[in-house]
Amino acid sequence: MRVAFGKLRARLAAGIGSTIAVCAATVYGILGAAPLPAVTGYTAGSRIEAGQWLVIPRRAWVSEEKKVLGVRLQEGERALVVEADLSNRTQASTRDYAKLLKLQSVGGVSVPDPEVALVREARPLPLLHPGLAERVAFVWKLPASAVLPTSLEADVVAKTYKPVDNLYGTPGWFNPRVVGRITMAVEMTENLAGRAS
Amino acid sequence: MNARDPAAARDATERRWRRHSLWLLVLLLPLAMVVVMHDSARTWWSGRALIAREVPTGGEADLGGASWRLRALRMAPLPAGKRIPENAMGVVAEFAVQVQDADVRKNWAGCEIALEDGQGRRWMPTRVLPLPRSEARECVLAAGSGPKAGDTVRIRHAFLVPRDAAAALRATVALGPQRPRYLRFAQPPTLVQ
Amino acid sequence: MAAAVLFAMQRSTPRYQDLTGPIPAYGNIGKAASTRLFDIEVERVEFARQLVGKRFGGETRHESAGVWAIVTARMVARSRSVNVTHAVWEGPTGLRYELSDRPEFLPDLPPHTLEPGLPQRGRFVFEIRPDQILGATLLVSEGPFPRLDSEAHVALNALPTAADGLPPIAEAFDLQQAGGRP
Repeated sequence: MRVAFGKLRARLAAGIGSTIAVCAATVYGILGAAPLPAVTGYTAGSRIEAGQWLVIPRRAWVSEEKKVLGVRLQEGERALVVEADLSNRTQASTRDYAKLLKLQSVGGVSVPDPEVALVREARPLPLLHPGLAERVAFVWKLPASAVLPTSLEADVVAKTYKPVDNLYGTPGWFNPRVVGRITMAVEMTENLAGRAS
Repeated sequence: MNARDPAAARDATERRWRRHSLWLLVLLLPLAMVVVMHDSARTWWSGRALIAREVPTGGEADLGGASWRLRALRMAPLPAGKRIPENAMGVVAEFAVQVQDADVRKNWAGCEIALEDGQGRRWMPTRVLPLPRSEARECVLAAGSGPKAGDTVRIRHAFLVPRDAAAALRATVALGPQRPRYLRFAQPPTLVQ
Repeated sequence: MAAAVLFAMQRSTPRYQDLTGPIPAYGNIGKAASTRLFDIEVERVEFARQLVGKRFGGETRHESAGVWAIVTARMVARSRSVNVTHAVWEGPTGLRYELSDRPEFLPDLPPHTLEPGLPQRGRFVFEIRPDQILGATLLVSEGPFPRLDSEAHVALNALPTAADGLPPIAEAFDLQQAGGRP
């Protein structure tokens, strides 16, 4: 009788563990399959808090010039430029803005990472200092075959601050995630507009 | 009495072994440290120029598969200017080096020509002094130009040193693979105007 | 009791970054800071809204979203030639402003090559937020990550102040002016 009761308890203990595991897996599966929450939409002039940066998009334009704000273009390439005010919200001067804006595919072509330039002086890869807002331009090089867009959509990617990271115990910004989507109209420079019409 | 004897004997043996182990620790700990650190120690030892070989004035010495001779060590006071601090003396060291082993790229890797004073201070070559054109070049460039065995290369470097310490300076040559041994030339600098 | 002691030990153990961080050498304006490789004495700190320099025959003017802070210091190497490349303006709340990368090819800017026995003047230029002017510290080191190596911490106290309690901010600062190299 006692032996039988002991076996029952053992079976119950094993059963509870695996039941919990199966339930947890089911819950994760249900949550993962749920539709993504709607992404906040932003337009030119909105203040976007994106982790390390406070972003205020200003204007977007395309250009065919050989050199756009210090960025060199190859033969036939066009530049899609998004000007935004960037304010450094972190504790130290940084250049970590390369992945801040993710351009959704334009004219059916996937675009490479943008080059960033300081609008004030047409200088590439500016160092941005804590608490100071500067107007920078994100320049995407569109190949000659791409159709020039009249409006663009770009995801804003923000990282979160971790005071103690898992590897070295040092503070840092990790886990990029999309916090919003900017929709803007794209202006054309005069010579391009003249040709299009 | 019968039951206690083997127990007492076991205790004594155990105590003796404990004592032996403690004494062995004195030997084993340093041994463990040597095993763990010997690589870092070797890197530290060969990372710095520590052991000088004096070369008398006018003499030659072998280092890194070549025979080194100090051709000239000249110094001149410099007026303070855009890139020259006050109280500076410019020193130019020129070597004639006869290459014996043509594998100069490997032998002369990390070539460092410096000026040393009696207290161990070292001055590295400077770039701010414009020198007249000559076939003498910097050590790294001379090594990269691929000299063959038997060639004589001329190596020249300029230094910025304080005027009051200039007379006591001696030229030194240190090569990467040869460290911590290096050459120190006993020839004092001569003042030119 | 043992749990409490262990918990206290775990909480108070310094992090890897602190254990291997820079070793500070303190100084302030007028008192030199002495690090392993060099001594540095800050002579003066000036502020301006514009930075002016000459480049390739033309004049360049740099404006900033904040204020330009120009530190003039006298430095000398201690035992061997050293290149001082890194400096940070640490504000009173801990904000770290790195050297501004905008004024390039202008004289007296880092990297400063120092020789033993030859003191020379050099400048460090920063763009800072105006409220970070008072109570700041200048951190100077040979390279950008002084791990287990000394770093000069010069307290920028006793700045000459104007009537409003802040140091005077000039309209323009000319980097070519005398007072750079001696």
